[in-house]
Amino acid sequence: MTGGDDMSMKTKQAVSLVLRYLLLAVLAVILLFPVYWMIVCSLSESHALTKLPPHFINTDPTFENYLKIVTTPKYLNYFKNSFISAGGTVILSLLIAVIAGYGFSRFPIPFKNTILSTIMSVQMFPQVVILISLFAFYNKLGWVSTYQGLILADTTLVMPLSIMLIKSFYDTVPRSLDEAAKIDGAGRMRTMFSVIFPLIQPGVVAVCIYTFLNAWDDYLMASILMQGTMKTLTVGIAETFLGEFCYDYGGMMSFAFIGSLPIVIVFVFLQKYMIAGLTAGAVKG
Amino acid sequence: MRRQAAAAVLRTRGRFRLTDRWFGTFLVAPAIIVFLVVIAYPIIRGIWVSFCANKLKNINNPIWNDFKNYQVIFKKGAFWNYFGNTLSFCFFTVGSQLVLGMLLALLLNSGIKGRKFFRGLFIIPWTIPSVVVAILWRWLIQQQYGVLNYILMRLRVISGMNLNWTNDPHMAMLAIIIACVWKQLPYMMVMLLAGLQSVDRGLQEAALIDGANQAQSFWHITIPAIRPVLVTCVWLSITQNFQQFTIINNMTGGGPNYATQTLSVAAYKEAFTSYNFGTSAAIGVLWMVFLFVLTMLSNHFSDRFGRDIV
Repeated sequence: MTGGDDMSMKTKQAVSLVLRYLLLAVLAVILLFPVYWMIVCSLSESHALTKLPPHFINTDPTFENYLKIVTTPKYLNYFKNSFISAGGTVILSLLIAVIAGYGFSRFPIPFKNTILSTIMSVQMFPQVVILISLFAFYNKLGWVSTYQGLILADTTLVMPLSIMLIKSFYDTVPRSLDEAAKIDGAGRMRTMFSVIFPLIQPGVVAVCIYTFLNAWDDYLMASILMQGTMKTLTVGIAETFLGEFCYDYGGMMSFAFIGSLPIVIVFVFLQKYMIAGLTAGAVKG
Repeated sequence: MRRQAAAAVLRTRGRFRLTDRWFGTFLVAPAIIVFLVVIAYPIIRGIWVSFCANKLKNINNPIWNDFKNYQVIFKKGAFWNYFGNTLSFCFFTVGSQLVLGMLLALLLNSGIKGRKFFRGLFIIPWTIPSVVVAILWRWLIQQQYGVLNYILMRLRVISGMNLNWTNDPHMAMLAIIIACVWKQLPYMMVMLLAGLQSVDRGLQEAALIDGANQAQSFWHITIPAIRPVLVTCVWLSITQNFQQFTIINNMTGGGPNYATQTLSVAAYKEAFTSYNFGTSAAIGVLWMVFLFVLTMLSNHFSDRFGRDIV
């Protein structure tokens, strides 16, 4: 290869690299613009938003919309309900998944593959059908508008994937560790809790994030099962801003931003685990 | 073998001990009980309800009504309309996600610096709750003051602030597809990127040395290598978009004139607006049957590649 070819090759590669960065930057701007716009509008008064042209940079931010949210007890109550329901869902599905995942990963359970694929195939069953039945049961039990009712309903949404996710983390722990613990005289319970469990902490974090995200996001179940003062944030947002305050765009966007904040915070701190969790099942499986 | 080993342990220790088989069953029992009570039983009951008259007044006593629910949904012709809406919504949402997600994943996998930083940026829309996505996009596409219409106007695509997205059947469908793709794209990208990173670089380089061009290497080396991830992603995405309710219901409410009424929106409204639980369950059962057949068919075809979807 001559020097000239080498040069042109190098320039070509450099140009291609610059183009790729440029494309990434453009895509990032397009994909993140809605989030940026949500924040800009949340810091504006509503009447300023119903004027053209729109101000793409907010030179005079106001926190009035946020103040209104934190001083309205009804709105704070939505947050409380969402935190309790999502927290409960995390705890319940984690308890179930951590124990079941170990069983599925390590022991010869009868009809194991049939059970696993049945659990996984649940994702294609209509959630509305499950909701109809749960609504009927809860009416009888008096569980409508209770935390335990929504927690159980949200658990149905996240349980299948939580089990598969945590199982895939157990699968990465070598079996020789179990055997070593056994030889050292540890019982099966002790092996599970003191030897294997500490090694799958990233999986536990991933399941926590996944279940919290989904429970926080749930609108379908909560819109029926939680009424009156038990309404959760997602239902509250939809109801407030598709009804009474449908022209209060500033208020709408500040509520939207605050409603996303818990998840964005979780994401910023735990991104690593979240991505490990997202990809664990599919890529290896 | 295992049983004998367990029996041996039992003898040597001289006290009662479960076999591994029973211990494992004991561990998964809570999960299976919860599964049977809150997932399997509700679904089976739902199938039964779909053959029954079931209103709010007899919510716990469904009465058999000779397939009337199915007759009703087929007679009105509404089912095929909702089914068609669901299919086109799913097709365009999953299709555009796949193409864009692959583009982003390939870009991020092409040896650029700051891959994690960009991945972190791109994933943000996925963390925004569905209800928020719906009201955010409603505001972006708002007719008079929406920023999207403003940008289109400045680009001279439209002549004034006169594009009413939610009033035109096609534009309304496009709007919900854009919103859903925006939210789900990061997930697709992350999964495909993880798949791409697991591909053996040596194979790709060998192909290039043997004279294949980039496109050939992509189609004949990369795609077959990530086929399992690809199949899983597409299947998950199809089932999720069949379930998609929150974004559609809060953006268009199924309108205008039922143009964005998918099966999930129709089933929800039938159950909790009209309180016809039987009819709603019938819609759900038909949807279940369709996805079940689809899964069986694709399992059948992917058997040739030696891998099941589920």
